[in-house]
Amino acid sequence: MAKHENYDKNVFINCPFDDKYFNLLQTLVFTICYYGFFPRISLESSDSGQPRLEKIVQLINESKYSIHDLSRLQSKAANEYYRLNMPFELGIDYGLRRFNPEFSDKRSLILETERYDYMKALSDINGFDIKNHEDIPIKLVECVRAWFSETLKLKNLNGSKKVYSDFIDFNTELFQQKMIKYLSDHNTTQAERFARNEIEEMTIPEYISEIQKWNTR
Amino acid sequence: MSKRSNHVVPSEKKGGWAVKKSGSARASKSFDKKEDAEKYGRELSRKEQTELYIHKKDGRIQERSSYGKDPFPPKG
Repeated sequence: MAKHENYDKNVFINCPFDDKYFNLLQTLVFTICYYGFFPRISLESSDSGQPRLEKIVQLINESKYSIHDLSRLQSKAANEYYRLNMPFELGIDYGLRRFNPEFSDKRSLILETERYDYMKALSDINGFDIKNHEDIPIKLVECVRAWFSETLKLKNLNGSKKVYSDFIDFNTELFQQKMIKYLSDHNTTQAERFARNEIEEMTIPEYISEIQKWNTR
Repeated sequence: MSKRSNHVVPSEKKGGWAVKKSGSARASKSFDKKEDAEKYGRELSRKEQTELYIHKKDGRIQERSSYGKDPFPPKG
């Protein structure tokens, strides 16, 4: 079976979709694009006719690389359930690599918030490439950069501080561009408000497309 | 060339915030609380007569303030 045309550059992102994690997701997709790869995430399309699991299996199938963030394995409040989607999707990814020789080249990074948290909930993965980011954006960049270097063997990669600084500059330029667009018909305060609102409402594919434009400018 | 703007951004410490210049990887100063970083950022930007961008934890812009010649002046 032929692999997806971008198989060697696709990175499947398996992460929680809660408000708190969205703080990190923007940084994660930026870092992946920054190093020349394509983030693939189940939020990228919303075909209501396609079951969610089928969509995820398709993304796993199309991506040589994957990043599984298991940072919500632990419930933080009474009556809150811990999240099982992420370990389940990690299992699908691992199963494809383990049992289908065509996909034995797949590589994955496992992320968690605090070091060794996974041991309490999913000790079977002991020995995998697991890094912790403490929910700090720049630490997340460090984790991904180290994985690109150690596992994908990429050379001469910009350091995490430079990547994060560029991420901040990207967000600033995006805001300025949107502001300029609205300034032709509105005053500064209104233009700022509309620019902020447009960026807030951007879907992940729109945001990725803006990063890719910025990368090739 | 326009002056470099200042930015309030998440720091390397959990829950911490820092003030840094655009294009710089190094923080000018770090703080435990975002409000303290904002205060310092405003003072610095006022002194340097430049723009201050306050970012959210996800990197997006929360607020922009101009303390010099505004590159985005009001119309009219």
